[in-house]
Amino acid sequence: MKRIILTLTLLLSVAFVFAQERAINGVVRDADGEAVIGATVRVPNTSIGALTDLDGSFTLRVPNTATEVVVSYVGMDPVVVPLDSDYLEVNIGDQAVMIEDIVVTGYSQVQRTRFTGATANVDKKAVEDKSTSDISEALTGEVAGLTVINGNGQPGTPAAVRIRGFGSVNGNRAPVYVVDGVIYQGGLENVNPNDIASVTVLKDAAATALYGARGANGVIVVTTKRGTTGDSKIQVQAKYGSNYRGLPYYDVLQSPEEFIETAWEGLENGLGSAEAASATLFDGGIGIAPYYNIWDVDGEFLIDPATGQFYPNVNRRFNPERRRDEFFNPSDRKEVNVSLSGGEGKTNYRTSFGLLDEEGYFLASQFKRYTGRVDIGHQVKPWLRGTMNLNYSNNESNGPGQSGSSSVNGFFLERNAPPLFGILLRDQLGNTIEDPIFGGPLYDFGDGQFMGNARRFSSLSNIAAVNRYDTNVNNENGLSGQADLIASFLKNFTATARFGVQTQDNRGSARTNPYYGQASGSNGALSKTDNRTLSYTALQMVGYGNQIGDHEFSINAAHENQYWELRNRFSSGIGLADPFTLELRNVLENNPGDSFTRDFALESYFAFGDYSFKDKYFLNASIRRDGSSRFAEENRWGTFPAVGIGWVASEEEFLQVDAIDFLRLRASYGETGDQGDFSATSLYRGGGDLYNVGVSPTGTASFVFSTPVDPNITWESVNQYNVGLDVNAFSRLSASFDYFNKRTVDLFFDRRTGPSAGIALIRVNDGELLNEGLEFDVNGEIIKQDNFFVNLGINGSTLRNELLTSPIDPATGLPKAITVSGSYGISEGKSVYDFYTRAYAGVNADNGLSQWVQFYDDVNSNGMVDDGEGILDLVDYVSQREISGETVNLMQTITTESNDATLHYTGESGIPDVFGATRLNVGWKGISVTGQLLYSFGGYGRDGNYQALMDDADIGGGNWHEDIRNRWMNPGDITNIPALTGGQGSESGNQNASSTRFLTKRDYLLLNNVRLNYELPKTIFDKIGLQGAQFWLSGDNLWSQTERSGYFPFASESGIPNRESYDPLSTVTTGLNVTF
Amino acid sequence: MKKLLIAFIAVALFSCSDDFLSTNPTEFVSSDRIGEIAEFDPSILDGFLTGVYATMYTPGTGGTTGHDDLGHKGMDIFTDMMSSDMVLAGLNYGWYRGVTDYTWLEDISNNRNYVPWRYYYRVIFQANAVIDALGGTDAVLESEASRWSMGQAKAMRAYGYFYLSQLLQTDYDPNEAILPIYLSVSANTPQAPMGEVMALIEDDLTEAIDYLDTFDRGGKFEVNKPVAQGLLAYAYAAQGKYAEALPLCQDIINNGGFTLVQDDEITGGFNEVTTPGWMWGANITPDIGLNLVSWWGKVDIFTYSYAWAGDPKTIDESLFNQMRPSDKRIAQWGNASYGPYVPSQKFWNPDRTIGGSSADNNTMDYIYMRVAEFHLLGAESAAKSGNEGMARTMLKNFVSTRVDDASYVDGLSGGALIGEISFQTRMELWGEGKSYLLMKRNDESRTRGSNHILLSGATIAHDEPRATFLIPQQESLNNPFITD
Repeated sequence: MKRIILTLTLLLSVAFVFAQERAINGVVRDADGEAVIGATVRVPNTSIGALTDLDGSFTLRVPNTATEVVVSYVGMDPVVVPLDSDYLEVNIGDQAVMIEDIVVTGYSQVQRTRFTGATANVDKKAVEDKSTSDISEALTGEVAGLTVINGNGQPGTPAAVRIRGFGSVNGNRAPVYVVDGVIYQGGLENVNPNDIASVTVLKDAAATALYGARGANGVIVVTTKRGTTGDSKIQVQAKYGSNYRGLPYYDVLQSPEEFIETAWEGLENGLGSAEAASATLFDGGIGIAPYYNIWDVDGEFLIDPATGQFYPNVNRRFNPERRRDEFFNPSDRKEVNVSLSGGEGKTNYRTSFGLLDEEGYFLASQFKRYTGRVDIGHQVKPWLRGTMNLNYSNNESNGPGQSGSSSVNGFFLERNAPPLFGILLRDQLGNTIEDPIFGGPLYDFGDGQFMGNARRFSSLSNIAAVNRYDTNVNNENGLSGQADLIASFLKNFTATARFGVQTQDNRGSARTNPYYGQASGSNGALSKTDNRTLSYTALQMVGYGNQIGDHEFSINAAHENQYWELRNRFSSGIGLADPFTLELRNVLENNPGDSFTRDFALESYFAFGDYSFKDKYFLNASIRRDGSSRFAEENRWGTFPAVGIGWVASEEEFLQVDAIDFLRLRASYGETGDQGDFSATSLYRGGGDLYNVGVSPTGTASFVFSTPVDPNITWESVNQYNVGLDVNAFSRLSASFDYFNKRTVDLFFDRRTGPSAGIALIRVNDGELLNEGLEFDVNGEIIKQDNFFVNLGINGSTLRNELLTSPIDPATGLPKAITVSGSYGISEGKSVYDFYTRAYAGVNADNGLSQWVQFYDDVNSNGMVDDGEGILDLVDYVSQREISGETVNLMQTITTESNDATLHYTGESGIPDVFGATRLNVGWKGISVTGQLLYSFGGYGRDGNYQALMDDADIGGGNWHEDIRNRWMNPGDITNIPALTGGQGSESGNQNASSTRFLTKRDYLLLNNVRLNYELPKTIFDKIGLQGAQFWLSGDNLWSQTERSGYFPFASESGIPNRESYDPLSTVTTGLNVTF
Repeated sequence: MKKLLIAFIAVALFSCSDDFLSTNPTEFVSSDRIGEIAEFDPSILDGFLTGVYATMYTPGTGGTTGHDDLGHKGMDIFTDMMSSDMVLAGLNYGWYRGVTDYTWLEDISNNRNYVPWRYYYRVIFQANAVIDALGGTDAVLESEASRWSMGQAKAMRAYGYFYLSQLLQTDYDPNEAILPIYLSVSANTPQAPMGEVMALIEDDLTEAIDYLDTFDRGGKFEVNKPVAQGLLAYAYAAQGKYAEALPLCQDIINNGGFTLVQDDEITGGFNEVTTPGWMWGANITPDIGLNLVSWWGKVDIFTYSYAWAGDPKTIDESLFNQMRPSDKRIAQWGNASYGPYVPSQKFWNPDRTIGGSSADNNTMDYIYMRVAEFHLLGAESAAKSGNEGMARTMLKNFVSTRVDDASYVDGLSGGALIGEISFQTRMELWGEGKSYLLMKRNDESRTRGSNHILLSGATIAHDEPRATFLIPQQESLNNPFITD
């Protein structure tokens, strides 16, 4: 810390001595008063020039003899400005300058045509259209090759983002966010999307190598809004709407009678007779606890053994509540943003205040946020400009019933609860019972009576009650800021000192009530978790730029330090003196406390520059050297170079074709790195194996082995090349195409070993992974008239992922034939998401048992599987025989034993063939409608939710999917769904073993956003003194089409649903934007 | 201007101090850090050995997050259920559901085949780390302290291999190769014949008994000489070497300094490690931080956890019914309000409120071994090595502490004598993880009583493949020497 302050001081204290020169500064704006970024300001007939920065300002040292400057910008006529003042306010052109024309790399901003990397700018309008609480979800569908995985619908939870495939097998795959030039390591939920001016996504190495060790998975550069001198305004945005469950449920059984008849049939098969099934149905042993019989006769008299259906005169005592009715309800979303911006003379400012108050559709899930941001820029001295911004955010969220443990997770419970289990406690007459403590009805926690009357489904849990009685709140304060000092000196030199800091204090309190549920045995429980993160970045950079004749170039050299730490403290206690307390002072028995720290530091030196010739040929190059504290001293440093070239072919004379407005070719190659994510087990430092500190029964220290650490662990690096084509044609079509090829070498690989060695896996750098694909982004103005327009855009990406080299197995010294990870196999020539599982072969029509493919090595060539001939793991088996030189007489058969079925590549991959989004934009006068539809085709996911809903376990342990109606019932039935046995078949545990049976196409269409916008005509708002006003109606996640109702392949990276996830939220809002 | 550039570069270089890149995450302690501390405080190294013991009572040491992955006592529940003596009397949460009817155990990809393999080999790995630090398995040790450490580490290594040998092999066959052997921390090795494994167990324990002769342990969680003798007696018995097991049992009884659990202790809760009859066990303290994921949570109905909430663990009815009317152990079992066959007076939380005791901060201790085992194993060893007289004497000594009149023992011989010893072992040690070992070495078949929900009335032979753990899929997939 000390040396960073020193750096700043030194930089500021250097006396600048200038001779025969004076400093000029100013601001460049377009006709709308918006800052023009990246305009060139140049003294004619000299090499002296500068580009305008993010708030449109520039600084230039000109000879005393100079009398004018020329301001130019791509696609506009140059403006000559006389030097009659040291401060210039320049307006250029009538045409609105699109921020899309600028690439903001975080360390610099460059005109798009001059930049050779693969980048994409996200339309600010597109961010504003969506009702998201943070920027990550707003990126959905906006950039080719960028996937947003919105796996958690809890309001205020940022989504995961992936750019260009799956860069690592076991390492980090997440991109880096850069906010206002500083790597952002705070929570995205603390940045109000309304404060965001632009988002640039850097995809290839030419763009990301600047971030060296952090750039391997792409970079998302966010620039916040700034004020513009002379353009004072107040903007008010108000939104009101509703969050609701708009996407469909799984089709599960809804009728308790149908459920019981199905369960009864299972028992009949499993126990061998209808009589036994009836007697057992509600016996509290194999059957369901008698307490949960909701009908007016005993369990054995419910089902007619002759028909397998309810006796006609049986009636329900009461109707059990449906969980979805109790859990999921539309709720409010309110948002107000106010900003003031402008500037006078040498100072510009923007302040903003935002309030977001939203409730999720699930129980008490809620998010409330206040944000305040101040941004000030000031030309302190002719040669020195300072900017500073500060953002404060406070948010509070409540998320009861979202535990990762299924028995207390509302989404799991809703999906899987058998329909006869309501949520309220009932007496023998079926009436609810008054709660003597909280009032209202008593809830059923499934623990009503001891021995034989527990509820088989998530006993001791009732989420509806937990929602009423318990608390799980998080309160977060986030403060982030960044300060820049930019000095210009000599001719064409600039020096930048930048310091950015983000700190976040998150305090969570979870209180479990003393009367009912999980903590009633301990008279209530309270736990408090504090997580404080602090990160800072200090940058010192010197730049030089010049133009000599047709040659224009710039070069920058920089040094940067980054530090990040997390301080965690956990404390808890049981026995609540005050049953509603959130403080441990009011708790009777405190548990031992806990705290720990995670941190890392990164130090970097880098240089980057660009060169162009005649604005036709372009070259960008960068090199960065990074040292990370996460690796041992000898493995700490890595070097990451990159180079890119560009050619604006449309500037060539031979390509002066009317149809082609602009044509550019780009190519780049570079290397980037990744130091891994921050999860606990990857805090490798080459400092020896990691042990958990425990305490022995006599109170001494005990070290329990936790994680082996490879002392040689170092950077994972990505070698990437990219070829791109940008074309604008017919004055109405613009398109970009990119081919990318990313090879990740020294992969972070969790190398599995046979656990008999004492360790199950160790993270090493080994193996090589390829991601390649083609990205496209095409936009056409189909109709372009004065009052009417139709624009259509489509973007997308293909992706191929392949492991090129498998890591070495130290036990043999040879590459590991295959690493099986869940349902996937990872081996050479396959992707990280190729299914390696059992192949389902349908149901045996004679006995109703599931069948799978079994491979065997027919050693004795008798055409059948003999003892020892069966193969469990095909790739491993064949490779072993190859090594030993034995031949394999590979044969295939069908087995009804899942244990004998062979794990092999079944041909399905989890990776889509093509995915992206289309956007349609139609406008007539002030009215416009925008719609964005996401698409993905190809690939499979293992639908674990469906698998659980097709299970054949003890009856009452879970509900069934409606597909269970197609189960095998009688010999001769042709079906893919095996017979039910009520958990009593000797095969019952294995009938639903993971196999290709549960692989589900992950194709989807998702109507991500529709917005209807009405802009008040200028003539009207001029009269009432407004600068602008618009009303709109917007909807998010409105409709989806997937292979199976309830299955949301877009909510997880692999397409395998998280069984405890908050299903996607749908939102409808109306809003008003007014500018005074 | 030059000055500025020089200053700038100087600043940049200055900030490249190594300090900045030396961070210190504290979530775990690294072996290097422990080494640094050991330079001025060598006693910290004892933590590696206590770490081996901590593996026994720390949940999750079987490599899963399952609520049945409880270390040593978790394995006790697995084997007690597989032996049919412990009944899973409710199928509500589902833990152990496929252990009691063996369906999970037939699936190599099921975690219940993984957990024991991972757990015992983790113990072996940690013991080997200590052994390596002491100079390796053949090190010649001068100091008494290092011999004590080596003795304990080797005993724990033998403990790991012994349980694996019993749990993974259907019936003892010295030539069958199942278990890879590791004498130090190393990469995967091929499977070795069980005879070699047994020889290693005998060597390790013999050396441990020698080294630990002068060892005065700090707590009962550590292995001392009688515990090592007890483990060796089991290892001999498992191979049918009863003549070698007998003197070890006698030495433990005569010189170990333990007394039988008797009188009030029989229904005293089995929750206090200081009980004189306990040879080996862990004093569970709040700092250890066990909660409902603990043996007590699984078995004790007074703890607010699984046994109370829907999955009670009870005794096999036919075993229970073999007790003589005067048997003091009848009082260990349930009463009307708790339901029959519940061990509510054998294992209990001192609060004695049903479902009323928080599972957090539980301080009820873990029992691993007690002297009664060697009264019974001694009698068994005597009977099986041709000394029925001594067997009857030893058995009668024991039985007379349990029933009013033990004279019936005098009339027992042959199969009846062995059968009575077996019954007493199962009855006495219900819930303590010993019955499965007995079933294996005694070639017993067990017929389940009618209170079993699953496989009620079924007979399970000692060498049934389904009642034996399988090599888990993770091992066969990732150990290149296992080539299925």
